[in-house]
Amino acid sequence: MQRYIIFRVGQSILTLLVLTVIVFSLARLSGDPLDVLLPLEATNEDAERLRAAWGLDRPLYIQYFTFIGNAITGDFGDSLRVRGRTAMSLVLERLPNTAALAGVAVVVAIVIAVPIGVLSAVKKDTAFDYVGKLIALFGQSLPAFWLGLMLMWVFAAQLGWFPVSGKEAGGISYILPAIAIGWFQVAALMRLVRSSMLDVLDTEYVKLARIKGVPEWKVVWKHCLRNAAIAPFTYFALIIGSLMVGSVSIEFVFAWPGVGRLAVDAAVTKDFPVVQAVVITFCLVYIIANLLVDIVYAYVDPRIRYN
Amino acid sequence: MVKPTILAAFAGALLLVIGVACGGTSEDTGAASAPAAQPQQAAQQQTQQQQPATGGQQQQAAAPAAATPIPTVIATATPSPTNTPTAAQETEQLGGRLRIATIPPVQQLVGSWLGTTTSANTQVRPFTDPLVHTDRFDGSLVPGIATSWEANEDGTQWTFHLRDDVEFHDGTPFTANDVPHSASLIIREDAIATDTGLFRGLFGDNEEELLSNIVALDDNTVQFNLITPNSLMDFFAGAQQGNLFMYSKAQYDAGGIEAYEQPTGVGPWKFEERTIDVNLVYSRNADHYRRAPFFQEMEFILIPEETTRLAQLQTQQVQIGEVSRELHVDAQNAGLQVLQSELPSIQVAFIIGGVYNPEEAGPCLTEEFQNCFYQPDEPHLNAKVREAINRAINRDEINEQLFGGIGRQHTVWGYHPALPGYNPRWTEEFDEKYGFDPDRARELLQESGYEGYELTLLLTQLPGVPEMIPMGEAAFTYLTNVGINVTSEAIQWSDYRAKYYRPGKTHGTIAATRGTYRPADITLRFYNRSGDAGFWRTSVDPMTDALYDKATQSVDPEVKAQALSDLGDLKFDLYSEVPIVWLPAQIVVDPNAVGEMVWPGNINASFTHTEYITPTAQ
Repeated sequence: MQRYIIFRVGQSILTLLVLTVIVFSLARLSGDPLDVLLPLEATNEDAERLRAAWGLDRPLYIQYFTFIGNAITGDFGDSLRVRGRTAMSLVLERLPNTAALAGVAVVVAIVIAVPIGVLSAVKKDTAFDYVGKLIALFGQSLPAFWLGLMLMWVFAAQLGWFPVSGKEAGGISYILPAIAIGWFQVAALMRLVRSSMLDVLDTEYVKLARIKGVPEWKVVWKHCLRNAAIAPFTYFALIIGSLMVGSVSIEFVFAWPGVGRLAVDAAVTKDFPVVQAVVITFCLVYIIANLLVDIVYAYVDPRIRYN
Repeated sequence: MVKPTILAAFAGALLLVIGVACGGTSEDTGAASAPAAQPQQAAQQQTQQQQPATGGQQQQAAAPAAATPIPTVIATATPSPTNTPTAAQETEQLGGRLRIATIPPVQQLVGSWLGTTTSANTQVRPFTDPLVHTDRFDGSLVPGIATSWEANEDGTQWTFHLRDDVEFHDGTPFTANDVPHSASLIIREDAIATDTGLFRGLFGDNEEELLSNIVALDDNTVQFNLITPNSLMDFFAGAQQGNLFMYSKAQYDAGGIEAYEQPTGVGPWKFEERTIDVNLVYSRNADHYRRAPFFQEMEFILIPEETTRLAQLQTQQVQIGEVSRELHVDAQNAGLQVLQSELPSIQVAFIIGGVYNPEEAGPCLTEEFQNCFYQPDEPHLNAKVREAINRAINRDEINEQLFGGIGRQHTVWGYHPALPGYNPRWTEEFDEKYGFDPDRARELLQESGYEGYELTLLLTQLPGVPEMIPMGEAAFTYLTNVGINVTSEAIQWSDYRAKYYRPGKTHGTIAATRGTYRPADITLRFYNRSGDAGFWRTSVDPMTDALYDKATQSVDPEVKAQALSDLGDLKFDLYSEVPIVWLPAQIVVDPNAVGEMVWPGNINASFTHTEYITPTAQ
């Protein structure tokens, strides 16, 4: 088991290193931040002065090694757009907001997806099932950005039930953006629950329980769901990371002060340090989530670690 | 067991979302546009009552006093009762928190040296003032902290006389010593202010040199000694440009540059707090020397998505918001009001690339081919080609279809009819020389020998005019229609800057741009000057250079205006650019919350003069 864990941690570190090269290169390939940040009236002399002051005039490989050396200690440099602030401080300031939104979105996804998934399986090929499939179809095909705008327009602007944007209103502020982010996962989770439930509903022990006269609700919600939950729970671990990364467009629409919005603003203004800090942080979330899932898998199923 | 109705409820809710949303959209867009709000009568009456109190370029000339060590006063300004609140304003009760939904600025800052004028004007201008104020009705320079100012004969020495009753928000008195300190911030190594390069040229590129050139003569007098003559020092000391804001030297001495994270200032609002990408909060400065605000607090809420800003307005979560023109109909249908700035303050045009030599100045505008270009087959050197482009564009259609007809005539890039140097001849002759005439355009191309030449149309976008790309798409049709072989290239502004104009390779291209309301020589410096590498040069020529130097180095208003006018004549007669329209700045307000709002308008100053905004009378 220890060997397996060490091997997977090594893989993760290698993945992270490759990612740093990709992120660093893409950030540079996207253009010169001075062309975004400098005023129209700036001369080439102004640009060169700033380029030197920000270390952008040094050879790329030196910039990369400086970046890696500092990144190990969590120092991604100063933001070019928000002067006087380090990139990591901006990310850490926003991370709780994004994590909280992702957390609520997970709850929304579970609360909606699990009952519908179960009912779709139990009432297979009935109106319930078709409605469930329709919801899945919408969830998978509606862009989160569009859905966010529609939710805002109907439930905030027209009906006035929720605040339009921001998080100042407290808990109620989370509902619309969380639904918009979680809706895609509702569809995926619902389909997974449905297929798992269908498998379980067809097993012999379920038939036995029914023959023994166990109430139907108990068969479905206690015996079946518990056994059908393994696959969705595996997926559930991964969607936490996915929800955090998927928050980019929704944070933009709802003016949510999270990491996703920070990423958009940084990318638009070519704020390299912040882009790098955000992407590496997101990658870390994914890598750690995957690593944990793999380790738990290996713990549960010894065949994995031996192979 | 879960009731079947739950599923039905989910399905119903989903259909409700789609149905209501789609229904609302189609209904809104189908409605007719209501006219934009006109400036209020009270404001107009006050304008008429004002005494003219203007900056250097609009002031009366006095007789020069030769052979005297004292600077000759040839330009001056005197205090006037301008910008005082109207009677309606004085009777208003104070509002609570004024909430304004804005587009997040590119740079988020509280130090004006850390970003462009656009960023500084929104975030810094509320809490600290420049030396010279801008009239909210006509955009002229009027006394602010400086009660008067004068320049010497050759424009190398400017003296500003300051009020003696101005205090920073922390209670320390403002003195002339704060001025050189504030100026020195603009040339810091980490500065990226609009005026950084300019100030380095005018006062020296290091702090020591600058402080030897900008000196406090006493607590209420400061003198600017310029390395090169400049007739616009009062403009650069004013708010319209927006970099030389007053910062407390005492605060800097006590806490260094970090102290400015929570800056004190001399503005009508006190800076309270900011959360990056979320908001900026200011509170009322009841003791402001010029005008205490009519609201207790003001908050800029930074919202990137404009539909969200509109929804905020509609639900009265904000009282003022930036909403693009295409959503104005929706705003008006929701009972909101679209306000226009007092001035048509945003100029829109197409830049014809390549009428200059990136390596050396040559006669590029006034003569064809000779000694100018390393590309002798550059079609844009030919005035007939430039005229053809101008004739091919249907300005009226662009104005009606894209700008809703609010645009005013624009005759020469950089020149506003209300500012010195404008020649009325351009207005009179515009239709004749620039009127939409595709047949004539085809003839001109044929005569020039460039019929069917290859042109790259660059579709790029700058803040302030979201119609730039559709305008470019319209130009594609117009230019193709007259036989030009147009290829379009969608390109981010930063890439356009890096790939084309900074290295001086705009030849064979055309691109939309926008500029602001400011003296012509400020705009011309950037577009029509050789020498300053990296500027977005359009047409450059030794003759335009000479006229530009004459205009900027003379503080004599007549000489200056004449030189600018001559330069404009060249540009007008030789079709150096493709002027389209002057547009007013526009914002959307909730009329139930905002009573009067008057501001001159500027793409660099969308929300200025906020201290004069009144709440609606209850």
